[in-house]
Amino acid sequence: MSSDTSIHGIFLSLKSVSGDLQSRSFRWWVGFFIVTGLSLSVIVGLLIVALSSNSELGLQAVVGTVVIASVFQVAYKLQKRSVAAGRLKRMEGRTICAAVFLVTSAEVVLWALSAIPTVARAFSVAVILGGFLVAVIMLLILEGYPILKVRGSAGYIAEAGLLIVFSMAYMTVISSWISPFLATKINVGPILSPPSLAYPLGTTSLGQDLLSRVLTGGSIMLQVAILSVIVCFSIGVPLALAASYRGGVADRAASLVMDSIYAFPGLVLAIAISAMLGPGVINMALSIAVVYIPSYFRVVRSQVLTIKELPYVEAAVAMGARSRDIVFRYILPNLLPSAVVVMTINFADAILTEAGLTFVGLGLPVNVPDWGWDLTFGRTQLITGAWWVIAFPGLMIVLLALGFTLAGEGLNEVLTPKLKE
Amino acid sequence: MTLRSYVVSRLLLTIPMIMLLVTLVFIILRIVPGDPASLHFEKHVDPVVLAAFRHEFGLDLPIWEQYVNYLASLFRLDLGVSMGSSRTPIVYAIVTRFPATLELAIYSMLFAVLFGIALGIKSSKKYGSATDTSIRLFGIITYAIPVFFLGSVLQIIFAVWLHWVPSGGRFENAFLAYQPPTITGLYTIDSLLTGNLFAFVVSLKCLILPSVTLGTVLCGIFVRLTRTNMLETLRMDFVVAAEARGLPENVVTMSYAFKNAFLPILTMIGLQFAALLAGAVLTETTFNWQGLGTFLVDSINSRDYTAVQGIVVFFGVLVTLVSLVVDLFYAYLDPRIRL
Repeated sequence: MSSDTSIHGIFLSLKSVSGDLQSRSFRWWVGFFIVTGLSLSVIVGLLIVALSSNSELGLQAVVGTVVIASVFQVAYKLQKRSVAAGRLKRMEGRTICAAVFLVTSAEVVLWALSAIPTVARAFSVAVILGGFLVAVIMLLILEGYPILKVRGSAGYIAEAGLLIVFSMAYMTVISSWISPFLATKINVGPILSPPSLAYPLGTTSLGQDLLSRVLTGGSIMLQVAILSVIVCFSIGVPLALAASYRGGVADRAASLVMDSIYAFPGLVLAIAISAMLGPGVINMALSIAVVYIPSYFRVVRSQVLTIKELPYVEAAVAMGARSRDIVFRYILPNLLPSAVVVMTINFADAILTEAGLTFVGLGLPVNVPDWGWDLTFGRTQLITGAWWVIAFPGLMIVLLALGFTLAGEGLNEVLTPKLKE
Repeated sequence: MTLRSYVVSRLLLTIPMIMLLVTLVFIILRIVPGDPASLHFEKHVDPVVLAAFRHEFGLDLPIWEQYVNYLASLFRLDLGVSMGSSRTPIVYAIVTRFPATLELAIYSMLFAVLFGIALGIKSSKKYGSATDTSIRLFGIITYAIPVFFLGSVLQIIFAVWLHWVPSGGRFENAFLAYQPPTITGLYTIDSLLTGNLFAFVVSLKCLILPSVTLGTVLCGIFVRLTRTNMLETLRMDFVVAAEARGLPENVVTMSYAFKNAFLPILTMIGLQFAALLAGAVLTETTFNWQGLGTFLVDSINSRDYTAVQGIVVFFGVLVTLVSLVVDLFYAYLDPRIRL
């Protein structure tokens, strides 16, 4: 891999790259094109929102998004100059950037609360998420993303994955402003009409507009995934830390339980739990969480066992550091990267498991727009050859899961560098 | 440690694993709010009927007594009877349904392993090239595809549009008269055993789509594993030496490098068995394949909780036993593990 350290920003890097095209790996180009393509599509999406939304809200959302992103961008530029001139430390500069982002977002939220109280929550989420996304894209285009740029193609893969994920989350949040019809409304058009100008992705067998459903349908899946990952992370990591640092009987008992859950076919266990708990976002999230706690436990445990034996931990012990300090200040920071990688993969697994649960009939009530359910319901029309009712919701699931998998793949190389292959 | 003592200790370790697993299933199905009996009837039901039902399935006993009964009947290989009106013994249902799942599992695993290894070797030999990246991307994408989505896409293309293969089922309805008699329950093997080539072709045609679907979803891990291991082995001295002696490339790749990269792949086959069963549940539902997976889904839809419990226990024990066999086989092949 050639020197990626010299690269600043996508457009600038294009210039610097054109000289040595051969030295770029194919993988670098794949990541590069996904990143640029996605950035462009987010910007085009914003324009569509601004131009064609049903209400004033869409335009206001876009303005809010751009304001947050631009203020952040200005703050970033200024702090960078100050850091370069030595007036600020690096961490101080970063803290200021984060603070500016938070304050601007808070301003927008406050404005939304006073001006449009009915949809303030959705509006705020949309604007902040959008602001974040656009800020990241601006950083990418103008500066090269500061954290990942030095890591070469793995950095681009991670960026591409994260961009996919955030864009899809953003799309779901703003869907009510950009979807041409109400997602749950039936008979808005002919039944099972193939993709056409009036219905760009076709219609379902209930005459619903598929485009509207595809735009809206990620919300349940994302909610379930986020909830279950939070539960998994906050149980799996502390449990593994506590058990494996102390060792002894507790460790062995916990490992045995975790191993026996891990040995189970995950989906079958999730199906069994979910069947007992009944449908619902929280119940689905819980049944998925139970299945994936062991993957955190195993990774964190093996990390703790390795780190515990390292000289710097032994030195801390010899100096008489309290075990609380050893665990939280010496061990935890060093295993967080691998826990984050597990978390990213866990997101993909949670999404696929949610889709699987929905597919076997343990999902949400019928009329809630959800990609998993649309795909399942679309299958009933299989014999008519109506490919669009299966293809589009399915592709969205694949894209979302792929985003998380790519992010995990990239972060794995960026955060936990191993010997170069 | 000798091989024998390793085998004994590994066997002894399996017993608490299975106990734990069985207990886990019991806890999940009893501790959650709402007992199986009232969940089974779902809507309002005559309290007398409900009480009688509870009594019949022993759900009116104290929880520890239920647990002891459950363990005792498991020990006798009795999984209880179905909550449906037929009251079929669950063991009977599992025995009749399992061959279908087994057949699907074998062919899918075969496809996944062969396809995955082939791609992995290709990828490792072209390290760093566009082919390498494409194959790795393919591996990542297969991981992100829900198996029933891939199944549906293949169904639409090859069954609905092209009519090459049937869209589901284990045997084409038009040829039911040729269905082989049940010996092992695996149609492809039964038809070969009875010398019925036509039935063999028909059942193989039904098998292609489901096993390619499940195999593709599983093959990503084999691609990655083969690639990493091959990259390591290809760099070793004995491979370089073999190349230097002028041996043909294929011989070096296959009988020098791959032979040594194969052991971790073998372990992975065992580890993937759980994923295989989970995938089989969805694949069977997609292709209307009358195996354990469809049985599980049917039981959930008819709220038959004894059946759900039975199938989940069966799956769990099966996975434990398979990993036992793989570990023992691994110990037999690789003497280092016994140290």
